[in-house]
Amino acid sequence: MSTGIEELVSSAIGGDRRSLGRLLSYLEGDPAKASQILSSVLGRAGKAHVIGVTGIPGSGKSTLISRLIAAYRRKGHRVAVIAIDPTSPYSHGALLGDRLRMQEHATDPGVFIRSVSTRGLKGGLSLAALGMIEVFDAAGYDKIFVESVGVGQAEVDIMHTAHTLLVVTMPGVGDEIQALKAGVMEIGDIYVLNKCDKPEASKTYEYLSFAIRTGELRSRGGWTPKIIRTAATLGQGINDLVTSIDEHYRYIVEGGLYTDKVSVRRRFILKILAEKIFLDALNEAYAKGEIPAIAESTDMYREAIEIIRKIVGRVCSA
Amino acid sequence: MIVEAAIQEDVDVIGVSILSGAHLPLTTRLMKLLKERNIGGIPVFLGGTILLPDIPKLKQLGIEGVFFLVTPLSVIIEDR
Repeated sequence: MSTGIEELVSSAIGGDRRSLGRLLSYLEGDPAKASQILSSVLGRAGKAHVIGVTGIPGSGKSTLISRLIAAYRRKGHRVAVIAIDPTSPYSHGALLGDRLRMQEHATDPGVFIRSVSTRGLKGGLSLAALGMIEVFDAAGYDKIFVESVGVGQAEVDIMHTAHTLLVVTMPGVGDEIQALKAGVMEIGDIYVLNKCDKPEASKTYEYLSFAIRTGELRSRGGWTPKIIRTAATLGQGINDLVTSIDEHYRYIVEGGLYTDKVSVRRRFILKILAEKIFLDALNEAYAKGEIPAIAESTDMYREAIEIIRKIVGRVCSA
Repeated sequence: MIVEAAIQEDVDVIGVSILSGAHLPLTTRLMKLLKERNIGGIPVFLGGTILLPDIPKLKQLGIEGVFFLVTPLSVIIEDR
């Protein structure tokens, strides 16, 4: 089986899109397979620029990414997009709706768009998404966009591992930024005020600048967050945005933050794997009745420690 | 575009809804592209306004099934 994965990895890296698509599916499923894939790609990854794109539903993330794909393709980059949970009940997004907004790039061999749904994902969303980053990276995609509404712990964690984080907002939601601060909204490297052709754009712009000046919207790694005004559907402001993204990229590479982020991502993958292995063994032990379903004593803490000892012993001897 | 989406999302089944009446040329083209890209094994089914006499031709092209309006989902799912 491991040779099968090896073959799949080398043909995916060699440019076979079907193999790449299949590998990404394996990352969504079995953690054992996911680990095998990671083992064979990690050595070849760690070069790509991961750009997180988050923001409230309807702020135009997909349309913006579509424009950015075009811009980076013109600059000769290979671009991958990981669209998280296009079926989210929060975004009311249609199934694969993100693909639809990026469809002009669907047949470009230098672009690969993949959706990850949180629904029915056995291996865990974070493992799938972060694993996909590593696989795309190893396969030579050097600009990787991760799109998510950033709701839920897993999505917040994933966004934290991005090198550059774009937070997309739009006019007329000024005061709501307050409510959105719980999550990733407050750690954007670049705030994109999209749909700035709409009224109230300047008011929201003022609000954002004020929030940055007062430190309400914090920066990461000493970088002062930028605000870029765009109108993605009209193609306005995209060049400014690209300039700003590139500037941030240079900043993190020169400051050594780039490699830090890659280490953070990998440590995080390791943590998820450890949790997953433990939980699977725990659930198996319960299913087999090896752990009594009824508490035997009143000392819950001690009993919990005993269970951990049992599971860890079993995992380590396997 | 359909073929690329199927490859990138690694899909198990392709369902196409065709209302234009051009189901024969469209399906012929789709099946040809799927074979060219070496993913001919993915089952394809059709829905929409398909002419009854065309069904044997569509099956010949490799279409797994054709489902008309108001077919319950359970029928489509069980057909495989």
